[in-house]
Amino acid sequence: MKKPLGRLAGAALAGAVLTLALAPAASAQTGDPSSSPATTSDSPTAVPTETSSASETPSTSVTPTSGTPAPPAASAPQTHGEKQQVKTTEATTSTTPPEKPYQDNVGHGYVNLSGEGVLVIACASGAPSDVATANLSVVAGPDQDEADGRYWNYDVRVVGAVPGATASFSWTCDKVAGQGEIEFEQAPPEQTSTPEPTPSTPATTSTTTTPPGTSAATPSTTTGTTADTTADTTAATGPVQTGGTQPRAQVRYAPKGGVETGFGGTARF
Amino acid sequence: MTTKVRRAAAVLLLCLTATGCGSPDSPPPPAAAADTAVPITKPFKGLRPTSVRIPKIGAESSLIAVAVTVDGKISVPSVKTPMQAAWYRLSPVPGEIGPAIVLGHVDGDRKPGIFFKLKDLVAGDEVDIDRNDGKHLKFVVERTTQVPKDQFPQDAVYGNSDKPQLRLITCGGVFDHAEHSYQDNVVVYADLVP
Repeated sequence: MKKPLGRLAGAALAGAVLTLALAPAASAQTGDPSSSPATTSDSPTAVPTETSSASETPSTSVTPTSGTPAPPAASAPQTHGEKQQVKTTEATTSTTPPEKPYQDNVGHGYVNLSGEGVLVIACASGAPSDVATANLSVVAGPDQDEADGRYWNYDVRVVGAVPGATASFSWTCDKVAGQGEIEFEQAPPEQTSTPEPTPSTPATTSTTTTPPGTSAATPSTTTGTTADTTADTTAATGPVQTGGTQPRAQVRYAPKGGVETGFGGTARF
Repeated sequence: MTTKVRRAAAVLLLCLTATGCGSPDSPPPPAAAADTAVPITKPFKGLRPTSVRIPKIGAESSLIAVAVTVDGKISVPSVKTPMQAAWYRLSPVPGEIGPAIVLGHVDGDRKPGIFFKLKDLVAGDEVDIDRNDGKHLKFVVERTTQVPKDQFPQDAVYGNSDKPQLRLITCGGVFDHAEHSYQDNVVVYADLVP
């Protein structure tokens, strides 16, 4: 009776030791689903890239060094095939908050310096109605966000003067009134005093060759530039004040920060 | 003495069995897909890109149109469909003057995403875009960069341009388990071939 028990215990101990020995290898293969890219030969950490350049300047300064990320000087040059290792937690804790759960009947608007923007309304029951705002003209929409049909977008344009940093708008979603805030992008302080170097600047028609940060031109009325063909259905009659203070932005709203396109980021499940 | 050893062995065995030898700090699985999936009955009907193809990395996808979330972040395809790419509708239509933005997941749903190998693109590689007006556009990669998300180059990516360009964006870099997010973005800059 004692012997079989002893053998059993011995076998169990041997099994335990064996399991302990094998466990790291097993979890390295399949344990962590989020690290799936790393298992297939080329992990996303090893990036054979060149540089990131500041804006569109042709002088891309290649920095083939390996090391820590570059200081935030408008862009962050990266490295050649370098494996970034353990800069894990400290730099990122403030970057991407966890995804918020879906909330119905909420909305927000974003308008850029050139007076164009978008209203986003969460309404799972269908397209909102009675969208109203005092300072904006709805020029297109509603369009569903095709990644999540609960979100509805309206293209808008400022009519008249920009009211300030924010304004409100309202709608009805499933017979329930909703109200949201519109953010108007504000020009950086240093751009308010625009130097006018040439006293005899010819008032040329607006073109699309303006770099992103400059504010030399002041558009007064809407000009039918490239991408407006589909949006100007309702606003095409009469001169519409853009209300913006900047040349037309080709990207009508530039989201702040990076884009979440990885496993478990802010992407919706 | 031997009894103590046996007891210890038994306790050890019990512990191992109870934990399943799994990694207790493994990230939680993605949340279940929202059952509130709303059919797309009102898609964007204007001029738009319909598909993207990148021969070098074998990436090919239709393009859905996305905008922004209520929080002001760029909307992205569901992680449940990581092979789906998207066009950011508030950017120019590819082929028009300006930076057209196309997004794709590096991975999702425990599988590689449509832009899993985006980082492998180098200058000269080809990116093809089709539009709903029947145009087939060819872009050529100018450069590929990887940048920390908190230093995202807004102007370089979203700023005005004087020619038709393309920006392909995905995630990259180290995966931060605490944040459940990659730390970097990979951005590919491409120019239209006239």
